[in-house]
Amino acid sequence: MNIGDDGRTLSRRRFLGQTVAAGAAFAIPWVAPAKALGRDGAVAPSERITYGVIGYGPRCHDDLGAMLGEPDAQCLAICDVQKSRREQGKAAVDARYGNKDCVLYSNFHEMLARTDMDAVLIATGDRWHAPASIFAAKAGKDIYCEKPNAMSIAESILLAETIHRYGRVFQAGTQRRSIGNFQLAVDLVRSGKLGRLKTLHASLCHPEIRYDWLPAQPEPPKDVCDWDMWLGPCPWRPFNQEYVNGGWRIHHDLSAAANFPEWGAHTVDLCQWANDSDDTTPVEYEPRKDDLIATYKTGVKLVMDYLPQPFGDRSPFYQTRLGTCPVRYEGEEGWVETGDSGDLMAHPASLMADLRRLSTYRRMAGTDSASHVRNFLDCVKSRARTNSNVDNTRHAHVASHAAAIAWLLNRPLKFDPVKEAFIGDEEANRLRSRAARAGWCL
Amino acid sequence: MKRTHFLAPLLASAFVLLVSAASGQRTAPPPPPPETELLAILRSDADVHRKMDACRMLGQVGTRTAVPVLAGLLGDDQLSDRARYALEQIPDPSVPQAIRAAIPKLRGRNLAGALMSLGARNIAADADRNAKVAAGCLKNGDTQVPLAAAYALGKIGTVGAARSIERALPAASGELKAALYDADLRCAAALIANGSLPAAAGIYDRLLASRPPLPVKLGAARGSVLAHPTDAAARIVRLLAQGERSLFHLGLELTETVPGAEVTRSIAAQIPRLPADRQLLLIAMLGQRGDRTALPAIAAAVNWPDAPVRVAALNGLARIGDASCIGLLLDAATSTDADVQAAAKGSLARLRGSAVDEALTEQVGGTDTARSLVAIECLARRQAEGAAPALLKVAREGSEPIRIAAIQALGEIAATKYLPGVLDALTASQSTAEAGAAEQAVLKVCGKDGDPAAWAESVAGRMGTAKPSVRAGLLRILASLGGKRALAAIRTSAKDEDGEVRDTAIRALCNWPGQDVASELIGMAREADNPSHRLLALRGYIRLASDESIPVEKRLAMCADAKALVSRDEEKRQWLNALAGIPSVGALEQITPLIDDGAVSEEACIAAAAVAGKLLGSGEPEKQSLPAISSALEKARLRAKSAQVQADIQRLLAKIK
Repeated sequence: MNIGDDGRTLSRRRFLGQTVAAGAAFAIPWVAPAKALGRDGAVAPSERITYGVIGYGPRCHDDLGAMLGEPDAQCLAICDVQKSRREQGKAAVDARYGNKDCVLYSNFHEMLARTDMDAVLIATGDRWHAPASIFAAKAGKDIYCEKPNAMSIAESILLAETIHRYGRVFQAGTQRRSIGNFQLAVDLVRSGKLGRLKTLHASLCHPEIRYDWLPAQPEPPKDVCDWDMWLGPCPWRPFNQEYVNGGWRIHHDLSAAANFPEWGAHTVDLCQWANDSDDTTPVEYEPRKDDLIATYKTGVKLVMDYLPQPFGDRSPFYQTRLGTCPVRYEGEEGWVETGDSGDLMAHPASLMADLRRLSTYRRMAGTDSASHVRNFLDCVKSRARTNSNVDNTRHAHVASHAAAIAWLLNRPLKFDPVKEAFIGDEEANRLRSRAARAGWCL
Repeated sequence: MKRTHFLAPLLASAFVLLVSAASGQRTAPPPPPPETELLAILRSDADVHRKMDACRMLGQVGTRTAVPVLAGLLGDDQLSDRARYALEQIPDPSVPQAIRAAIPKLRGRNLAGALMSLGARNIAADADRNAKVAAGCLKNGDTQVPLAAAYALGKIGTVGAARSIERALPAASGELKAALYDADLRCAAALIANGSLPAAAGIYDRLLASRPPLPVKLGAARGSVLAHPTDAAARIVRLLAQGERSLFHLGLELTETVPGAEVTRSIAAQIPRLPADRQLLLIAMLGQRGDRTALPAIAAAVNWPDAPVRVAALNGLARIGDASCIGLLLDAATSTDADVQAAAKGSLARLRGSAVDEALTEQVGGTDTARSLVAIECLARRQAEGAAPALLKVAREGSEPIRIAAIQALGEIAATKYLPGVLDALTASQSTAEAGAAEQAVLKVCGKDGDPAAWAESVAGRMGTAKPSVRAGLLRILASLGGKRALAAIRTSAKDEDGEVRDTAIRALCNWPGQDVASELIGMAREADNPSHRLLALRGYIRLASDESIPVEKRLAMCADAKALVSRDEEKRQWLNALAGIPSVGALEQITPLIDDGAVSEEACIAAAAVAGKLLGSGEPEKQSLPAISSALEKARLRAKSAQVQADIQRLLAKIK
């Protein structure tokens, strides 16, 4: 445990802190006992949660790695439109189970038609997250889906409605909701120890957008990369290898909202949670040069800070050593900040003492999916709501998209969280949705 | 020619706009050009990308004027989708009318797209007309068209649309059947949202009667519960009684979703009728539901024979229980099953309300030791500061296990105002274990508010009257608190008559982090009677010489003072480590002789390289120091065994050359 004081080194206090080892009074309880959920040892094959993977993208290495480590879940298949990724995924799964049983698909509809599959793990690019989740829900699968979960406000709503319509369990890949230091920071806010909450800070990658096309290249054979399927519901454009290699980011047609939900799916979501506003969104969005100020109906401010170097020096906005995706919650009597390093910082010193006393959580990197995957599997069995369920995900994404629209239009916007529409700005309201290509009925 | 000439400036400005977006831009993009410019691009012979981009921007700024132009592109194989994107975004009421008008002329994929947009742009006033158009395409020969028509009917979501779906379902198969089922569910959900519950219920009942695939069956069963709010409890109960796991799961999910105390009561009554593996899931979900109506049923399960069910019930009580559950939870927390014990304690720690704190506090001084111990532990976990007076009382008057537990709990919850009481517990301690717990508790309490050193006076004030073992404990606390008052007390105690007290004080001095004990330490290192104290003082002194916050010359002088006293290899290494951090030729001069000292030769080489690295790395080194650096490095080069050290030395020598 490495908890700092507000920038100073106080070895004596650190010593005092090390003497403390009490349980957190407001730790998050398990919904059902581990033994009951089959997490205490060997699990009969008939009791395992079976799942398939849609999109063996970069985040899938972490997510699938975590799922493969769970004895009560079993991966049956990998689906990817790219042959190389399909085969990488199969190699990982077969290596885990010591067999050659992992089945490959290039068309997810075929995989979703399997009746022996309970769930899917979706780790595609942004454009496929909601569509794949929607098709999976219609096929009766429970869903763990990477973020950002939707390309627009309308798609965020559509995703939530579909998940509810089919009664599925959904976990967004916003794993920080299941990680101790982020949970503790929220607990600290809820405990009232910061006083009345005033300002929340969510770090974001710098907004960025492009509308151009990369030069056309010959499409590869469909078996190597099915370009039409890769595009899915997105507008057509000519093939270029750079897109499928990950260069789709910030292309408006292919990615979500000018980079806002890239980290906003995590950090705005965490702020929503800390503010106890999982069922609503801010009502005003004001873009500025280096940040965007969103304001809740209660007057609480949510500052979305654009970080020039999100993966490097995050000062002066955040304590760089707290890691990527930092958030900061400021109340009238103190503040707490945390990030992917697993560390927390707080002010004043008495809050640090509280943090040390309550810091009995398992230390994890903010990118580690293990606890979040576990929460998903538990909820598949218990049917309880996941930590990143489709409703809190919906509102966090709506807030991120609304912020992106304010940035794109470069003007302050007012928002009605009930109607999920901008007030008095028709142009902004047009940008709430994107049509799907013909044939992709979501 | 004339027309092209007229368009040239317009196209040029649009081109500038598009080129400006040729790579990612980190400022908000400029507003789209005027609608007239964008429409001009569509009418021109611009390439397909420009036309697509114009469509995109028309979606943002286009008006009624753009609608016919865009509708005219719905049959264009390249631009149809992009035209639809724009049409779906333009809020003008002429849009659905234009799409409807275009549909008879469209075929295949373009027709499918237009139907999707018709569904997306449906409004109540157009619903019947739109549904009629969509229904008319359900039998279209192109496979994509009926699927899009079904989708559009679902988006329209009226009773009329649902009737069209109902008529089409019996003859449909494969993908179309699945699309019609989904559209049916969508219609029903829209009707619920509009308050048309009987109509929605009719759709769900019809779907359930048709033996649909499992996902649709579950969706319909779920919707049926929501469409029958007055009968919801009974329907959920029936689902929970189903043998099929997916239906039971649906019942669980609805247990969390459907509100109402009566619903809670009916569902909770099912707990005893379920097998154990389902009981615990239902109990957990009722806990999650958070309705206290379920409290009696869950409380009853705490005493059932199956341990996992008991654990689930105890976890459930944490969510919906109150002070009335304390007795039940204390019984469970003192039972023999470890899982049950842990769950009960967890619930006691998490139950909300000050009444719970008060009820637990009442148990602290009770006659049942086991229950008192659990109450004390849980009060600590609850951070129940209000329990401090009661804990102080039993810390004075209780049996030893109770005293120790109470003292430990005070360390967790007591504010600094309770420090005198906690110090009383230390001075009155009757065993090593109790004194140790009290020492830790005092430290924790002192650490809770501001500068810990501020409490040194309170701690030092107890030195005069305490027995020697307690005085030693107080000295350890003072050493951790720091500050002038603590140091004064430690210095005084370094001359105490009692050996344990004196030893503790000297050790505290030897570990003191500030320079204000440096002269005492070197004195003790030279003259103390006790060899252990001499050694500890020497180590402490060398540690102080490593302090980078003091001037280099002073550090060099301290190392020189210590050199005469260093005899063992361990202290030589520590001494070399101190010198390695001093960027001075003087440090090299002290280090160099030890390069020939067999046991520590390698460490001396490393230290020499470290100092040389500092001297050479900090800007331009003084020329007169280069020979000394070079000489030390050459000597180290001949002795160093590690390849890494050799490489470092060679690199530094090359730098000098």
